[in-house]
Amino acid sequence: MTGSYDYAGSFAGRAGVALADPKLRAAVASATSRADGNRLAVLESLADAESLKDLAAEIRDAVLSRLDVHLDMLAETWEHNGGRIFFAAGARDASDYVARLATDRGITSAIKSKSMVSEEIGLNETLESAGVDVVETDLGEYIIQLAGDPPSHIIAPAIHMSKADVAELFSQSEGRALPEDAPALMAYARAKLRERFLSAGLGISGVNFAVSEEGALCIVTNEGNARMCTSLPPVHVAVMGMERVVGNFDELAVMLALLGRSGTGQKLTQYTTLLFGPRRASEADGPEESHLVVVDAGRTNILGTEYQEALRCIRCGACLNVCPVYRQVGGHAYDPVYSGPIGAVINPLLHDSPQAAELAHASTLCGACTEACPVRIPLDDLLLRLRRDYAARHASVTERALYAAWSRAWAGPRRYGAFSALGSLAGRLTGERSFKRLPLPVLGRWTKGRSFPGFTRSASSKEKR
Amino acid sequence: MRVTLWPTCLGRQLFPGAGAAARRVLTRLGCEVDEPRAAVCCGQPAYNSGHTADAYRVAAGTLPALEDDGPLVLCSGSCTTMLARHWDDLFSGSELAGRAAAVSARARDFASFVVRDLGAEPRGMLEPCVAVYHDSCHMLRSLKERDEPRRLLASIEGLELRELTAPERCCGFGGTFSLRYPELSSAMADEKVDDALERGAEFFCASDLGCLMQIAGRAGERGVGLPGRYIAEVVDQAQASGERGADDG
Amino acid sequence: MTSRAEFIATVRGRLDDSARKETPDIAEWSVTVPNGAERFCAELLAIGGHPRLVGPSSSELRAVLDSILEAAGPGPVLVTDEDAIPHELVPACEAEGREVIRWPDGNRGRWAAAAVGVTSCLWAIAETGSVVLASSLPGGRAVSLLPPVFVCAAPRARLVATTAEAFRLIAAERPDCSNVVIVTGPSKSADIGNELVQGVHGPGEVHVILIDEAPRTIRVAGDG
Repeated sequence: MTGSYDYAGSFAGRAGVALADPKLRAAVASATSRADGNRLAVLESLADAESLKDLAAEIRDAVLSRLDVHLDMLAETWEHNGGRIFFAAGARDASDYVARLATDRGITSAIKSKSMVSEEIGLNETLESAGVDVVETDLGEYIIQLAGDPPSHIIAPAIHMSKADVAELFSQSEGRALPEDAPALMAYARAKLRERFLSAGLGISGVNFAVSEEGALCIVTNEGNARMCTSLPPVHVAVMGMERVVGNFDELAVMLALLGRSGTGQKLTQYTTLLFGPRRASEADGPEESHLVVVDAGRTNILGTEYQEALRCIRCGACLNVCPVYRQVGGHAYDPVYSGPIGAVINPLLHDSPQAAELAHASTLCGACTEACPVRIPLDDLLLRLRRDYAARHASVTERALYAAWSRAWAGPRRYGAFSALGSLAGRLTGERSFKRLPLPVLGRWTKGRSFPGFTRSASSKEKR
Repeated sequence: MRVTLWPTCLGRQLFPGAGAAARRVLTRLGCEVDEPRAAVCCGQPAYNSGHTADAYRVAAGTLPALEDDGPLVLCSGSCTTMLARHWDDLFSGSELAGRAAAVSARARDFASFVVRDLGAEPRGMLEPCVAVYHDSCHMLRSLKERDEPRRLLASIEGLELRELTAPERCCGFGGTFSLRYPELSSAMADEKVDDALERGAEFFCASDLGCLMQIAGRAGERGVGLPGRYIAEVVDQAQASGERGADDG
Repeated sequence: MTSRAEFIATVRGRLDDSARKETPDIAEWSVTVPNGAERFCAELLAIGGHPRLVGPSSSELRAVLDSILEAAGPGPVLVTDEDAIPHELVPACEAEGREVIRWPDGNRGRWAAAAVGVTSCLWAIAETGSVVLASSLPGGRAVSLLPPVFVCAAPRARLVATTAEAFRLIAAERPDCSNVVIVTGPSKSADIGNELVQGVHGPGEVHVILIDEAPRTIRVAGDG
């Protein structure tokens, strides 16, 4: 399915692929509408959701402004709890560390719960090439791993697939026909994955929040797969983006109250797991080793800049669910990892490329994302700033020339008068009629899908009739 | 009250009826209306595309024409947002900063000016008809003007105003977004057109000429009957027929 | 490869000392929850769980346990040795001829084969219908995770109002264990065609028995 999405090409091209897929668009529109409706309904259960968002933003800002202190403290407390910690400057450092964990111990089978940062560092590819068979255990991730697709939503990675798609995929994989029935398909995946849970040597997870004063990791899932991954294999490794820290449990409670409500419309996600290192001598189960990998991979380039607010993100996915652009094209049109408004912001910041930079334009700046964001990231403002970077560094010669010509013509009443006269002439020549096709450069693009209202004889506030 | 009425560039070039209607409505409500003939554009198209220097050049060229006392009324929620919210940034550090701030502080969207500043409910009447109001994103989220346009329209006898199923969703215009990604932008407009038709609207009404051009343009291309009308045009027509009705009576 | 010191120095290098912000005061933000037990039951029911509010009488508890066990699939019952586990459980299992595995006896294979897991909890949360479990003995991770049916016996005195309060208790009492988990209803997913299904990996059926201090009549919330 991904074959058709060209990540070396333009957003426009990938959006075109998605627009031509009515099944995908229907699936994305209905799932995001429902998620957003649930979000709004459940936010009502808070005494004052808007004030809580302010508080959450303040908490995240305070942490980011002292991130060095928090990371240092986290290393101390996590090690005190018996955990091991590794700081990875680059994506490759992080995935190599995890691969070595496995190969040093002769582990060939790993289970993994959903982690966006692991997608970002290409962890599965590194593990596979080191001879470690890794299986995704979040149902959505399991589906897209089988399909060979990247995730198309931060919290609902298989949002682009219908029940029929999944039935076909599982049937193909199993070599027998499975019914187009969600409980039956779920039961099939449960049985398959249960075997892996009980036999894997390495459990991999992401981290929703690390609590620096407590040496604790918080991981939430609805399926219970993170509990499996962090409880059953003898070795557990958690991978986190370096910004995903809070100071204490009070702050964590605020974040979790908003994460569940904003992401899935739940007051609390089904399983909120707090990990304090490996199993104690006095415990009967749990991993013998517990590792934490803290990943930079470009994040320090955002810290201390006008884009720092983007690092407040708690990956709830609410901005995707409200985005009218995401709604049309789904996640694959953006990037293989992060999509929607937050993806359009952080991809250009994490990867310096013209392809990533273009994503700043994949928005109408309607501001729905900013309104939905539980930590008040001013996403539309950040997109606007990114467009300035784009204009300065990546805009085509033609684009620059057009804006320069436009600004000269419109800079004052005199030249603008000439411009208006051209418009009036067009109005006279065309009899002010509207157009289905406008054979003009740039403006002609308007009539790819819309009629043009027509030029007027006299560009002033007179009656048209 | 003396009022500067700026129909904006889209109003001038493509929708002259919008500014004319706004002028008549304001005049009927007792305003003395001036139009800044030399004002061209607030700079938004370039500003939103990241071409700040070009935006500045255009906005700085227009600024003197807008300098005056009294309210500055714009036929666009989006240009009002540009002045009220972004000119501060656009002019920051320039010698025009103070003058730009003075203009920005006077900027009002048409509906907000009539309802909030004039405290007027223009009333009037129309032949019985069904319409929907389309919230532009700037009106709704930047200016927080959800109720003002609805109050204007609700004061019109004969006009049944229905709510869209997803009134808060963007129509896909997005300024230059509409030219950069025309197919995607049109697909977004489709949802809006379908929503309005499903609600039984005979026409839709908007406070932004960009949205108006987008939704009506899409409806026109598809050949479905869904004309778009700028909010002042609807009010103007209602006032006019209200007056005639009163004369007849 | 970077060391911890280098990594943190890089982060420090990006931060402006004058822009450092103090941690905000976390005022009381949480919702108020009157009628905790009723609210707990309503919340758990709303997310697909089975709340049971019972008095301390032996016959009431036995009746609830019987009804849960009758409906569960065949297989042993895996149970922790916590104080709050009802004494009626063993006779209830014997009556059905079910084997009782006392956690942590046996091995992972046997735990995974159990039909029902039974634990108590540190706290129950009214706002969300959750229970808070610790991994330290006599508790453990597998009992509430591997069997398809999970039963939690919660003395009503352990009911707290909100998640915020539960986190304050976790911080204050800091159980000496490697894992604390807040379980909020059954395992679920909407990843297949956006259709909600239960029991993906964790238990698909969750019963929480809130055991009242004072005698009262049995009520199965949500029935009828």
